[in-house]
Amino acid sequence: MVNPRENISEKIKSSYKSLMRVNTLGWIISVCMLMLLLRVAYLQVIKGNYYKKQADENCTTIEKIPAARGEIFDRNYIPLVTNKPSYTFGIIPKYFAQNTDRKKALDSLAAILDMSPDDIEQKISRAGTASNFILSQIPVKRDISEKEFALLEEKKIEISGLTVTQEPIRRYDNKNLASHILGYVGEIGDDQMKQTRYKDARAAGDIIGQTGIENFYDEVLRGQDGQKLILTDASGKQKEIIKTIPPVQGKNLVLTIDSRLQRFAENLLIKHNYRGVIIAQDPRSGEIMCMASEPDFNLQYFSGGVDTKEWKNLLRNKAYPLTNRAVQGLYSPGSIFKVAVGSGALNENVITTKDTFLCEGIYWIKTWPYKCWKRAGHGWMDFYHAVAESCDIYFYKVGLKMKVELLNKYGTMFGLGEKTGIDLPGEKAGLVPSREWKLREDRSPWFPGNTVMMAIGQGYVTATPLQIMNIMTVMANSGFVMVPHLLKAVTLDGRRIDSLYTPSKLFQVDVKPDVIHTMNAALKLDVMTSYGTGHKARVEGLTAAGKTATVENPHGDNHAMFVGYAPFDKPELVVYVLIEFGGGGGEAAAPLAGEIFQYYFNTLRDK
Amino acid sequence: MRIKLDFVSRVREYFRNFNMVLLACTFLLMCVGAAAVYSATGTSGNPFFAKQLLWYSTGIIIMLLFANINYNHMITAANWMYGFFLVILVLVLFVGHASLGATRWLKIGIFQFQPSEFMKIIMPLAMIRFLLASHRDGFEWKNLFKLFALVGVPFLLIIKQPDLGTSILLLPLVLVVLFMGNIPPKKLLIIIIAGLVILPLGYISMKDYQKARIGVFINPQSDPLGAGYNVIQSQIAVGSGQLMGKGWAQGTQSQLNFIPIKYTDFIFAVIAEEFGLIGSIIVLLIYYFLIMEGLKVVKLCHYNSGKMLAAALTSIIFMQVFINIGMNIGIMPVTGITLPLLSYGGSSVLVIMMILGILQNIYKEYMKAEE
Repeated sequence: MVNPRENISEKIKSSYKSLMRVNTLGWIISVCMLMLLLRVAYLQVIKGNYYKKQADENCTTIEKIPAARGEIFDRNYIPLVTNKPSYTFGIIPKYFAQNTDRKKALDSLAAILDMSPDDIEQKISRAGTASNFILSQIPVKRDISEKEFALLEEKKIEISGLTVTQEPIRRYDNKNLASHILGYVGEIGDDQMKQTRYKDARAAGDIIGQTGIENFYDEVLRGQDGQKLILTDASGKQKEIIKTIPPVQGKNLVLTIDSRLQRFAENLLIKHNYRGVIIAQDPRSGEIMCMASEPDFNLQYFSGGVDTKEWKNLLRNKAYPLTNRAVQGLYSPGSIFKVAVGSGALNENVITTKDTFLCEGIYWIKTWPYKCWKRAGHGWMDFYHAVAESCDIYFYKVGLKMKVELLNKYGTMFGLGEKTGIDLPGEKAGLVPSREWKLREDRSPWFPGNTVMMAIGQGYVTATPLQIMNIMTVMANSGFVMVPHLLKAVTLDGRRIDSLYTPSKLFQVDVKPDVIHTMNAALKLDVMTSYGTGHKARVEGLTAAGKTATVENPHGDNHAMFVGYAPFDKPELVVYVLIEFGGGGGEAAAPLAGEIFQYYFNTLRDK
Repeated sequence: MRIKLDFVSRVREYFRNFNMVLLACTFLLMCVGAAAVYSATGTSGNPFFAKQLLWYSTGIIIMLLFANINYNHMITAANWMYGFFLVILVLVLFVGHASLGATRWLKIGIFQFQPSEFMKIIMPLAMIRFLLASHRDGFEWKNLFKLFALVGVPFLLIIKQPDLGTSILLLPLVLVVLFMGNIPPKKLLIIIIAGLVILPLGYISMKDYQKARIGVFINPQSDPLGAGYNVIQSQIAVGSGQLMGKGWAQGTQSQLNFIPIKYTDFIFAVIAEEFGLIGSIIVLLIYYFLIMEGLKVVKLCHYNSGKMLAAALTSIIFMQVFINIGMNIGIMPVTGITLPLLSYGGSSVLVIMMILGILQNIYKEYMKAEE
């Protein structure tokens, strides 16, 4: 303690010293307190919005309310694809990660769902690690059964991060009807996620249209998913729903298909146990009235995600039931190509209708024999008979006069080698060969033998059934083809029309009208005379024109084809029939076309 | 009427020599603390709020008690208390109650208390007594080493528990006592430099979780769901409070348990989230007034012993405020240091009230001497 005997000055000095020291302490403290204040102000004012957002993300779980896809109708508003409610089992990765024994949890879920634990793990990992994804649910299995539902509800108590949500799924009452046109839906794939088309709009586990109309018009059919914002505490317990944004159903599609004609066409092929294609089109607008491709598949397997066993069967099937032959199959156009060749020859004045050529059943180029389909030979043929009886030797000779350049010009002019732009995914373009093409691809020169084969639509030239049909559509329309399409209109609820499809011209051939007139007359003979190859397509009381083709192919029997239109004076319908390994076009394909004409003009149109 | 007037005047008479600023700050902090603890725990169904009120009222009695014990007596008795608590600290190591990975608590009946908290007060008392006893030779190196030994033993015992926060708190306390005891600046500088040299050695001997905390303090994002979780979540809570706050008991970070141990170590984050910058500033200002008033007591006191003691006690409050709020806003590593009077907890509240009582007493002794 202070010594009273100390002198005054020392005492003052000492107390001044300690006063200074207290002040020093005060300054240090003040600076530190100011630091705290500035830091708090920095966090709350400058970074306030950033942290507010973080806090909001922390405590809200976003539950997606899946929107129903739009429904699909035929041209008479008969439903083809509708929706039905179902339960989807999902996992919220962040909360699922809180389970102490992850393996055990996965095993028990796998046992209930009849899946492997790895599958579930894989689905979870696809969700990525971004915070907005780990907080939302990842669908694991769709359309779960009542039994699975009950078992999962029980598991929810012991395993955290499980959800069972209601989700509309596809309902297919018509099973196989128009399965290729409609296409199936399925979970978005890893590679699809990267496509710009889906990148921003879709998340892992979302359902998208995979093929057909479902795929082509996915953006129209898909609705806007709703959201449920749920207040969630740190342990994942959901407290209350803060906000619900209802989902908006996708728009409905009305197709140009007449489901009755479609069913009739499919049944025709099935009845005869044929693999093949039947397409019917209104040439005036390009509307596809039916497009049957057999074998097909049952869409019901796809409504709640693909059934693995069924999917494997479909993929293994050597008849390729998943392929829409009408736009994805490539065939030689065969004798139907003669329509383009013949028009070209007349148009370029290579021949006149009066010119005749002798068919002896066989034609020699040097030492190579080229046969006519009629081994005995047709004798002297003029243009009309050559078309109607489909004489090959006549067209060999015409082809040799035209050379590959003109054959290529008219093949291309009639729409081959170019996609039609139909509203279906995966359409093929086919090929119209040329001298340059063969040199480039085959590294060999073009031989006269190639020319004669091309002249009858064999050899290198390939096309889809839709393109082959368009050769006839040119004739039906006397020179032009409309873009073939399946969409008639987009509608909203209660049949309110959102937009209508506007038909547009695909191409116009540069052929003189009298040439087309001549060719049409020849095509009429093909159907309407008894010597015409297509006479079996004839229907009582209906004037039709058409052309058969019997296409040689290396895999087996000839493919039978027929394409024709009716009525002759004012064409309303073009029908194309392909029967794989069906034999002669006139024998196998033409009668089916006749039945389609019969059904359409005598049953459907009259009513 | 007469009796009542009489009572009022007697109360007024009793508090005549009290420091009103200190008293007001104490009262305000209790109000804020009660509101915050209620918000942080009110919905949990635990009796934290009621217990905290109990601690506050017990604390007031303790404060009044210590305000009436002459601090010189405490300095005189320091050696005994020092010895007693040293024994208890040793005892804690053997029979202590473990929680959150540390053995800090001693259970007596239903109460459990933290002896290291009390050591915060006893340490400066013992040091002051030592310095007074050695008269003017206190700052000889020989005596300084004795002093360091005096501090070193409990320091090591507390570090062993481990209670890094409290033990680290003791070191600046030594400096403050020496500084206010008018140690020559040169010697103080040498001690500080020596301390900074020894510090890295301390880091090596740390437990892994303590090293992790310091690592996390430097970069919280290195382990966002593990050790960095506390730091990140409390900063989110503070920041998201913005200017006006989310309203009392409305903070999502605190109400939905994103802030861990929110009613003790991270109570400031709760206040900042719910009352915003305005609430934070008010809390900081109350503490600032309290600490500055403590320094005023240091200035007023005529005696070196009182000056040293008041400065040490004020520094304890300041350091707790700085370290605790600092760790809430990410500028200090996470240690178990509580926020004076706002954090829930018996030992924490009682020790602070004891400190405030002693400060009041030093002020009172000055007032008496003035009269």
